[in-house]
Amino acid sequence: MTRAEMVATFMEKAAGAAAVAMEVADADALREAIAALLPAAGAVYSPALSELEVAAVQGVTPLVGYEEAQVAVEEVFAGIAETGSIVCASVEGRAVQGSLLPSHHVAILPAEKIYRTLDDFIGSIGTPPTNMAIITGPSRTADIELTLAIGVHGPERVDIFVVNPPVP
Amino acid sequence: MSEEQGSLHFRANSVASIADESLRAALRNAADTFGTRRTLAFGSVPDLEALREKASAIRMEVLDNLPGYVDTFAANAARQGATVHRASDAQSACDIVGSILTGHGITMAAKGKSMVSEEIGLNHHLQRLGIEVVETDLGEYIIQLEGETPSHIIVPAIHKNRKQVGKLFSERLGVPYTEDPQVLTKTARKVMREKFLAAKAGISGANFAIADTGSLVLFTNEGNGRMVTSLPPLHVAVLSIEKILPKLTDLPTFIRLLPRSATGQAITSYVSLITGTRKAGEATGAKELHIVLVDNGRSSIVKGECREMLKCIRCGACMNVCPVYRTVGGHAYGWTYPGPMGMVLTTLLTGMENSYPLVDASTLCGACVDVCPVRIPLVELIVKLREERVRDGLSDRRERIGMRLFGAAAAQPALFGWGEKLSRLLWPVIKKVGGEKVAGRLPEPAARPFHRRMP
Amino acid sequence: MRVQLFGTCMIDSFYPEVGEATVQLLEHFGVEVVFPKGQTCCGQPAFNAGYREEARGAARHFLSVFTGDDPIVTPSGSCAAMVKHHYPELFRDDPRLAEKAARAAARVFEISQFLVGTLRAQERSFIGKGRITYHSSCHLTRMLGVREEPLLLIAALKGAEFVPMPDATRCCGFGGVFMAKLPEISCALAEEKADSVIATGADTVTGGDSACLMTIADALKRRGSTVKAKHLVQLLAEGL
Repeated sequence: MTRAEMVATFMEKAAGAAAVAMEVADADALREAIAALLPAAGAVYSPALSELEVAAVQGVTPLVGYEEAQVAVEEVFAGIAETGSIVCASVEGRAVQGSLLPSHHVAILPAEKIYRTLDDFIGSIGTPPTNMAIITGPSRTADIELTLAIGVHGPERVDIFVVNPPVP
Repeated sequence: MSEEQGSLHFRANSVASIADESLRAALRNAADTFGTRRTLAFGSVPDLEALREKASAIRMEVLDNLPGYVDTFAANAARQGATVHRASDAQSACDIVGSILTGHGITMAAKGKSMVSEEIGLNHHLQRLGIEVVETDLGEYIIQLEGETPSHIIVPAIHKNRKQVGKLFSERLGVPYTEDPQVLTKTARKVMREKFLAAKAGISGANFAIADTGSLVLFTNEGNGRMVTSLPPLHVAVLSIEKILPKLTDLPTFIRLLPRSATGQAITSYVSLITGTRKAGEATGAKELHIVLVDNGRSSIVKGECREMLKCIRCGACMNVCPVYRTVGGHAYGWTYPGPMGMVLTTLLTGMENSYPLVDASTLCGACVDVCPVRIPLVELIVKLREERVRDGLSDRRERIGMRLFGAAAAQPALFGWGEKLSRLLWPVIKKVGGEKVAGRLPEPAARPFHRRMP
Repeated sequence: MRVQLFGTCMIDSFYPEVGEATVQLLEHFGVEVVFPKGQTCCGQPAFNAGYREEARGAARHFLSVFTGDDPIVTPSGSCAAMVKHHYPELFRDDPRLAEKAARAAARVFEISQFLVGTLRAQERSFIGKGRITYHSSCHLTRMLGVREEPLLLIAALKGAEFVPMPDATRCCGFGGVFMAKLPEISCALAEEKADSVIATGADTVTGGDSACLMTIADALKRRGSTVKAKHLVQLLAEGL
């Protein structure tokens, strides 16, 4: 499976799980896309640890802690094409709560972090970090009459920006 | 078995359930919805039978070497910073959890859905110790507010409709009445968020425990499982010993099978892996993790004839397709686990003398066997338990006499012929004694049986 | 070709006409029908209720009556499944009977299986009439794996209209001893099945097991419905 096919499968499966998945070519495009998303959304949390994260929240002040934030913007650990999932992990001093407490989760996923299958991903991690979450779409429940309701405890909206630079 | 968890008067319970129209409507809706979703979800899986076979083999491997895998898991979890406890029975499991919490001065704990905690009666025990336990799964929260027990292992409040939930929320939480599930869900989110942020301890179950990494795996859709296991500084996980998978690389097979079988999803919103306690440089994870491995009879079940029951991964697919469950609902089964898996597991866990009427609760139609993702031969196990009941002398006396007579007649054509003749003669009496709903449903015997019409 | 007919106890006592239709059909296709004398019951009621010894007694008797190599044909999916799947298991510790059980298991056929697989009856046409719906019995479908054969035969009933039943594979609620032990649930299931039958608008419901058809017929009567329940062999024999 080529990178392009993997990205395409990822986008399709993520959308199927009610996440909003978009492709951007580079950090500039990412910043623009996220800026368009943020103003209406309110207090923002970002660990601002990676280059893409720093670029994505440029000009957003103040950043707040994840407990108070309505939006979290973060680069995620991995993506899985088979299921359209993103993976958040407690690595590099990152908290997994960013993808959990704010009602809007904006995930940045570099295309090269996408694995084809669950087996490819799980096979790559060895001993997992303390917390790892494979996330597929928003928080949901069907506990009342099996009627789908979105955003029980976790985010009600998940946006995924796949950063996929064109091949030169 | 604690008394609070109900009784096993299956027939009486089922008569009451059948009379409850709103319950039956809810059950029909659930069975039909789950059935359709499951079928659709497996449409995208190329070789389902090979996948089930693989899952079954992995689970059997664990059961064949259960003590070894429990030790490996415990050692690896401890290496990651967890404190592992072994509980031989329900009482000791409750005592362990109770003393961990009281030792930390905990007065309120946020809890994720856990069937084994229902099995051991954990909430009652903790409440007696003065600890408030807040169920955070929406379904569990609903039944906790109502003071009920779960009626389904995946959708605990499946027996309630939106009107009943709306009324419950407005009475208990003081919010305006609504029957919109989306609005009710938002209410629960608000109430619960405060609890999550205030709780100093989280209690969870686990869907799997991974032996080679010492990890716990939780499948959830709501996110409460993630909150409970990563927000409070103290996390207590309670799980039964057979939930182990040998290797982390076994997990994808179960990610493909469990959510599809349970809710018809290709994967749940969250699959969380928890591996030990927060390590240096990490910004999240409980500072203290206690894993309570509950045996409660499983070490002996795994040596018995019905050991395959322990392959169960608690997806609930068997109850969703069971015609009996569809008619009577989960509460009729009188204990934690309903449906086909529940009949077998309850009998094994609570003992035949406490549960023998339950093994009648199947028409042996085999719909459960068709859908079980790990190929538990449920019908075979049910028949085995019925045989055990006969061996133990616990079967109904009239049935025993009837079967002895039947056995003798079936082996002797002359006697069989007389039997037929006699029942034809006594038919009006049989009809009367047999009752409207049994003998009353049989047609008149033919004046000349088939064997007398044949040359 | 010669076959041994296993009439089953249900048909013997309550539905001899189903046995007669089976004979008529088989003979129509040039099959010599032998009815082994002294046959009783396959032992399923005892087996399903957990009375293993009584079931073994019945099975031992069956094996002593049905000897030789001719196919054993029976108009009951449930009884065929008993012989095919449970006999070998019942005698797994008795080498002599295990061998006999394995031979019986190999040569037992449910009637629609035999009509389609061996006699290719679906290739001729039968005179059919009215609207027919089909209940897919649990043991016939799940244990014997006979799914298509009855439908092929229904399709051969020219002039009749087939109307599929939603949830055709859902249990009718009979379940052998189940109907006696939990009659309320059994009745509720049968009534739900009857409602499914009525909703199709069919005038006849058919199937491959007399016990299920008995249960459904009774529930239909209680619902005040005029829909008839008839074994598939009866519809085929009537249409010759």
